[in-house]
Amino acid sequence: MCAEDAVGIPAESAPQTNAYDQTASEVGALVADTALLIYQEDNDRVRAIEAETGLTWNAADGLIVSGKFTYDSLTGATPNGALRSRYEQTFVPPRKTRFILGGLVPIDSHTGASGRYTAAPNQLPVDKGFKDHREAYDLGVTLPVSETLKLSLGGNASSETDYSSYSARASLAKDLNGKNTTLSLGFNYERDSIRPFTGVPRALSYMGDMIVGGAKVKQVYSLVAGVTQVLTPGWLVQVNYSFGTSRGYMTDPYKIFTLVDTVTGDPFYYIYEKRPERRTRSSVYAATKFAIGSAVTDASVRWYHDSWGIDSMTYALAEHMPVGTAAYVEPGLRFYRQTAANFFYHYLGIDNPTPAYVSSDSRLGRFHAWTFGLKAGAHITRSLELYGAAERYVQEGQRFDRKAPGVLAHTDLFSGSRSVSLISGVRFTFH
Amino acid sequence: MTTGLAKVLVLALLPALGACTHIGAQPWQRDVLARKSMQLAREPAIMAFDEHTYFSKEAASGGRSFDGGGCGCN
Repeated sequence: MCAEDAVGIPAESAPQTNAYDQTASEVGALVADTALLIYQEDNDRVRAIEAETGLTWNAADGLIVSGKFTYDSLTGATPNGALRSRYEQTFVPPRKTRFILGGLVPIDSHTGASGRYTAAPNQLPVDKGFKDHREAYDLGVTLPVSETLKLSLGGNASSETDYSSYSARASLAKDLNGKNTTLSLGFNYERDSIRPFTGVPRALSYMGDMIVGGAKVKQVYSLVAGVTQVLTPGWLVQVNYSFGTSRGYMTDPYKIFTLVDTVTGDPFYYIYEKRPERRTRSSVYAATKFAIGSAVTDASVRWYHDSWGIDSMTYALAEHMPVGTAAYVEPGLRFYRQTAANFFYHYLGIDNPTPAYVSSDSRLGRFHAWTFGLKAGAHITRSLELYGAAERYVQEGQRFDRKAPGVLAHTDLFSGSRSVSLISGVRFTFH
Repeated sequence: MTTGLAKVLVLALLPALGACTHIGAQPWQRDVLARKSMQLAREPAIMAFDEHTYFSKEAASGGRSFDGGGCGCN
């Protein structure tokens, strides 16, 4: 079907009645953008407060320079990977060691961060001692190489008490066919250092065993190739192919795994989880924007596969609707689902041989998730804009396994998260 | 998954619709495409917060741009 005549209302018949119908071009302007996120998970789990402030300078010749600072603070409780139990459970961190007289002597670290803690009967075991903050800096520059070719370079540095990350990126964008087609190609390198509060535990060893080190490293190489195509004067499509490979420490040092009594189903023993040190990921992302009058429909789909055996699909749909002459609202819906990693188990029997890799982190399990959101924005003046969003995120997965041994057949195995996000922002454009 | 991939491929091949008509917009027809509401990355701060949340809570990441995110992410 040739849809051109049905969509893409010509300019003459779409009078500019709303501020968001104005051109997005900010040539010659400096844009200051500051936003705040309050993120709260249900049941007093993780709470994050994240603030972001950035400046973007759009020079008249097409040069764009941007800088961004992000600060976030995290508190609350996070699942430690263990199963719920009918008994109270006590968890201890790994033991640190001290080099004395040529020998390694354990020292007591049970009073530090993520120290000894308990989980009440039938409650999801969570580590409440978790608390951290993050600072991140991002710099970017886009250089107009020619009328139709742009080169973008950038870098990012992020630091938490137990985690730091540095990345560098470069990408090219080439306009073709009278700017109706844009090809892009980008590369990103990231290097992360992990320094767990507790030290690095010995993977697959018993809880409380001595640490094996203080820090680990992970490196990520990513490539994104894309095409953006204008189909009609009011309809465009973008398709991206992404490939990434990670090497290094990808185990979660705070997560443990439950070995159960295969008759009663009660927890018998806890070990530290272990994940492979390599992971390759690929995804295809397609998005489209379609205007009818001042309303714009935004739809996207992403297919994802990785070498850990996880397949996922993501669908998102949002409708931009003008309100009056200066505002808009945008209801949105997102659906996500994933299969489990091939080393994900809720638990294993104490009699079974332990596999080479094992994790019960719900983020590696099979689940699906819904996001219900509402965004809104308003131009207070030509230069001042306020915007915000409210979102509800709900993960759902299989809760019970009736074939599980003993009491486990009646134990809720799912530990996925549910959260509310509230975002508010202000943007000022200096013309 | 196969159906999902098929849907993605259908979207990916949409530009081929051009075979049946002249696709794209002439320079004097670009006012709708130039609108704020038509930009692919429209609210960068909201997008960054959302991506951070999904990166922290889901196994898949990336697609729109580079994945990663540089956090321990509890």
